[in-house]
Amino acid sequence: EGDVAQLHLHLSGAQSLSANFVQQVRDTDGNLLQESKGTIALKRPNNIRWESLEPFRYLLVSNGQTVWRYDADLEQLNTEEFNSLMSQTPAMIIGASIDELAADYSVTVVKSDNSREFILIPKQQGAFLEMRLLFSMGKFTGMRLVDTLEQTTQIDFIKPKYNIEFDEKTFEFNQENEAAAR
Amino acid sequence: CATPLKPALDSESETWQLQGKIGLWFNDKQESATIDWSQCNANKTRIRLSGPLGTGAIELSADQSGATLLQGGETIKADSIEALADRAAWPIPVDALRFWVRGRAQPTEKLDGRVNTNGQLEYLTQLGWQINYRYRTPFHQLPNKIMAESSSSRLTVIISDWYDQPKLCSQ
Repeated sequence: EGDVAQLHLHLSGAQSLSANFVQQVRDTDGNLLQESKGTIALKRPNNIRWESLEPFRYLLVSNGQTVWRYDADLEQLNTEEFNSLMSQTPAMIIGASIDELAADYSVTVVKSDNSREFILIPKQQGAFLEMRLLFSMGKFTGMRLVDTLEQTTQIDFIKPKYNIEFDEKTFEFNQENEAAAR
Repeated sequence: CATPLKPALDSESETWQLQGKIGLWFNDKQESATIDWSQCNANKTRIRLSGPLGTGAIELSADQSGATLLQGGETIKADSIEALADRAAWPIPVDALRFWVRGRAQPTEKLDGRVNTNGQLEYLTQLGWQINYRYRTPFHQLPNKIMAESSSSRLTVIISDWYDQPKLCSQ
């Protein structure tokens, strides 16, 4: 319907994105449970580098075929084939193609002067209840997710840059240069 | 919020809360999650695990009337929190871990261990688990990292914050 088309239009303005982010998790009463900071690089569809730096170091990299999840604190590396189930995790959703989004979620848009909130509700029982993609003046500025415990995770992009070029190593993971980058 | 240097929390206390991260390795699977564990007394527990990006959140809780698992919008009841942890695909030895994370042995089971000259538990062998401890400084009684290993699995808990008055317990 119209809202999916609107989402398509808005997301097409963010074919690629590079930003810092602040992620805040709040309980149902709004108390801050946890705050983390990191960086995100995104090239649609499904090319993502999501690195949270504090308080915990966690890295998710996807090139659309393989997804690496590296937890530096726990020295735990998960390497999986990219598949549509992957698109259930927030980092992957913002990289998902428009057809995947329309297929997996019902989409409604909330307008208020120059900002738009696209509310995505999973069509089948997912890993979260609701996700909002936030746009201000047509720019993709963040997202807010309500998980199955009704905790809210708000991710705000800081100084985002859009439609930029990345070198191809950005969306590849290899242990040596990751460790070296520390 | 900057936490002032509080006096060392009493590790014997049964009322505490920890926040941090947990990693689990078992039958060639590995999982990690942020963990928020509130303990009000010996019988009142709430453990919340959530994926790094806020998904897959689960809650294990227990009180005198029994244990409850909230996962994927479903509520499951049982008489023990450990049974529910298994069911949630997080087979962690909750009853013993409640003491181990505090740098203590489970009080009634046989044990072997070593305490260093600062009075900190350095390692412990109990209930088929071998646990190693890390502390932020020689003066901290509460660990900031524990690494536990059994014949079938490995468990790491990294604790970023300890609190002594959990909100859960004052509700």
